[in-house]
Amino acid sequence: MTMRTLPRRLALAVIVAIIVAVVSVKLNAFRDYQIAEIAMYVTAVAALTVLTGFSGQISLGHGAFMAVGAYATALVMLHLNWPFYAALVVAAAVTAAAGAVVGLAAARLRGPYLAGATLMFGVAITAVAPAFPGVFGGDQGLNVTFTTPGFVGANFPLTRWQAWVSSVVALVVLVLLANLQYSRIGRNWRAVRDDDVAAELDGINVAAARIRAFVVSATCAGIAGALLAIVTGLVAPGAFTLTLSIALLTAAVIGGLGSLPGALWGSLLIVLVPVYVTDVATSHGLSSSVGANIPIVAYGVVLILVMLVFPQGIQGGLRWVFTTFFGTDLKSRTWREAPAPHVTPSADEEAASQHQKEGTS
Amino acid sequence: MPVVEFLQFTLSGITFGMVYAAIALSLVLIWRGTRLVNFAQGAMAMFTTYVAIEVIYRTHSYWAGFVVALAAGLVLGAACELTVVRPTLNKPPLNAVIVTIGLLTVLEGLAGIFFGGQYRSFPPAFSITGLRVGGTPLGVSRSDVFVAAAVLAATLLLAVLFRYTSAGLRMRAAAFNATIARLSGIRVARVLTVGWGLAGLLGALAGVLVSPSTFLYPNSMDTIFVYGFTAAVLGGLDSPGGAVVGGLVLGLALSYAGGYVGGSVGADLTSLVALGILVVVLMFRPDGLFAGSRMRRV
Amino acid sequence: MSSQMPASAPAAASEGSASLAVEGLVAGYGEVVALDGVSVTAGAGAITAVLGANGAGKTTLLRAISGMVKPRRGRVLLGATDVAGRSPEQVVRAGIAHVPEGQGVIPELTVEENLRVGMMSWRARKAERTAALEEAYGRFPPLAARRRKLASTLSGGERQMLVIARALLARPRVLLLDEPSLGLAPRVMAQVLDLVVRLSREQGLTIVLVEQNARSALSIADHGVVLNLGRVVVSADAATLAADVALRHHYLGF
Repeated sequence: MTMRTLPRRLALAVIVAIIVAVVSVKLNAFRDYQIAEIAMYVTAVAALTVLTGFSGQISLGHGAFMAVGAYATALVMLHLNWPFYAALVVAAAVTAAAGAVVGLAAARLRGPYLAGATLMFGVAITAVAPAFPGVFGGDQGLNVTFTTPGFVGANFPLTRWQAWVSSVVALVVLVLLANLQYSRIGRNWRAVRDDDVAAELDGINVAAARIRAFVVSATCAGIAGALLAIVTGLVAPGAFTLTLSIALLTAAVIGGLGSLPGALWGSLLIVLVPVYVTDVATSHGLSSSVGANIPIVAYGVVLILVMLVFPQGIQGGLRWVFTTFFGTDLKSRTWREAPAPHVTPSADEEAASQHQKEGTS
Repeated sequence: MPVVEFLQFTLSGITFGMVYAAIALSLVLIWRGTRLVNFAQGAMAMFTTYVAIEVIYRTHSYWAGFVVALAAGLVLGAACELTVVRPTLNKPPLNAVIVTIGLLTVLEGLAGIFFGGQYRSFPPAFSITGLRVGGTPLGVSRSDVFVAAAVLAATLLLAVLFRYTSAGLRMRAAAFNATIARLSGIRVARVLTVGWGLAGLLGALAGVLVSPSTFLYPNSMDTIFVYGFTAAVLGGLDSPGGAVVGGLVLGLALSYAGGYVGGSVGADLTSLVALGILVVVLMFRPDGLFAGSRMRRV
Repeated sequence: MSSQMPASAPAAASEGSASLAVEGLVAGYGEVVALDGVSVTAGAGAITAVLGANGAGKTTLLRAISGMVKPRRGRVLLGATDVAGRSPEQVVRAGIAHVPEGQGVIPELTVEENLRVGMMSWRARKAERTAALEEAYGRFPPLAARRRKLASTLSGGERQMLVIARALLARPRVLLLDEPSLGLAPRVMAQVLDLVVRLSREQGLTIVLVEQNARSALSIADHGVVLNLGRVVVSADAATLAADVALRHHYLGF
């Protein structure tokens, strides 16, 4: 069963939407909030999957794109009094432009140099907001009011509405990204990711493909930022730290780089693991310095263990489980797993892969 | 007086720049040996600095703490390579990145558990009173001079190690062509461990040198790491000389930006200045200032 | 085609050389099986040529012997010791030096540094290493002339010389040469092959020579083995192989 065709994707999206709707009714407000959080992260992590997994460009600063989207949403809703869906469009447009600028600047950068540039970009952009407190609300940030619309009735909980809206937005984004993944644009991205020199020789405009990936990725991250604005109700610099950018990359790789379902696994990990471990820690009544730090240690250990045990991420691990225990490769692999973006391999790997390419002799 | 002010900013920029250079150098060491970026480098330095302060507290000797920190850096670096990084070496490169991020998280959490999260002050090596030349304050202290001198000494020692010793040749050969190195009998695995150990030592040095200024807390090395990484990228990850130059350039630029623009706006501008420098350099030299030409065999 | 020595002159096996015997070796890359049960004997002190078309498994054979590729089955006997499965660092210490095809020189290091790398498997004092270096310079004057220059400045023939000199510094008993004449002008190629012959005769070194150019290889070899698709199809002395026209046409292209 593959997601190669649009009807199949839409059907899956609708099914998931229905499941989320039903589940959100059954769960309490906090869980609904978590669903909204997960949906937001899925959108952001999927954005990074497009950039890093599909087109092979690493970004350590995606939190900055989320910030741009979030602030755009907040400003539009506050000052223009526009409804959320209009603000969403504005946020998407603004971050798309930002993505184009960054993509252009980054078009020639590879591997760790790209990582360094995006890292500094992330750090610098998030320092802009506190520098102009008049516009951006300084360290306290901007408050965003988001209310349930009239037609759902007065008793409809806000958290459930937030969960619904976020989930729908996330699903729409995922379907659109899946369309791109299987389109010619997606194929070009993979060609560029795997071997940009060969892609250029094949006639693909490598720079355009890379910039396109940045634009798409930034737009999705901006949409995630818009979701953050309405889900948390507050857009402040403290929400967009380096930790966020790193968490997004971590989620993308752990989930399974190059696969959109991986965005879901990664998001579940970063939302649920710290909460779970904190619960365990507090229920044992540990002192605050220990108790607050155990989730941090546990999270780090989980990252290391997952990477060591499942080098292809959780999605890769699931695929391995299916093929090992069910004997069939459920997804027909018409596209390869992302082998991870341009970092010059060690001489060993280079020699080995060179020989593999040349054929044994 | 403007000249004095410029001198003060310059000297202060050099001091911090050398700290960034030390981190950059450790990242270059690891990059050349294992072709990955160690995101935990700053956290490792933080951890060894905590070890140092515990030693100093107990022995009342700064130098005992200093030496122990360096030794701990050596051990910690080697241990990390052996346990956690080694398995990632033939897997997708981003896996190693995530593993080092995991390491970073674990170290920061452990520091919080063992040492507590409150800010602690770390003693400087020498007096921090500003030096004066004929009554004019230079803007640096003996301690600052020690910082620059220590990093410079470490850099020179490393250069001598690499160029003139057999061990250094082993490391260079393993970094340039691991296959040939192995076929010649070099135990490349061991060389990698030593490389990480040396990087850990350099990071530990950076940690004890900068902590008097930043105070010590689990996240205290995060910003230093970011600037150290930027310095390494500026100089070119394959170039130790580039790391030092990158560190100095960055340190000076941030010092001037913070000094001349001043105030809270200046402080926020520093990362924008760093971004600006990085963008300009990478625009013309996408592989850093001192990138060697690594030709792709098509 | 240079040939000063008749290919059939038997080499005296001197002490220090050893025979190399590969038995039933199976090795490959991932799902590809490149060697499918290969058995080859390289007599002590002799030159054994391994021939065959591209993809036949010649390079894989050398790599499986030297430990670059871990064999899945089979034995690699150096004298009486089985070294199959050992890592390259261990294999070179056991006495087998492998000169891989293509870029064997480390261009970022100087000539002297490249040579020193060859001695990394020793446990020797500085004086012994210096003596060995001087001996190498004596045997390869062009290297002596450029000892402090970067290896990237050497010509193709000089690089090949450097690579062989480096391998010799490991004091091997068996030398594996993978396409030493690749990419070299014919005259230079002849010099390299000449060198190989001298090494075998003067030092009694056991040499396994993989060559695309079968004609040149057979002209200096004592024994020849032809591989095809990972299997040995013919193993015979070089003169017989060279004389078998049908075989030559079918497997060796001349």
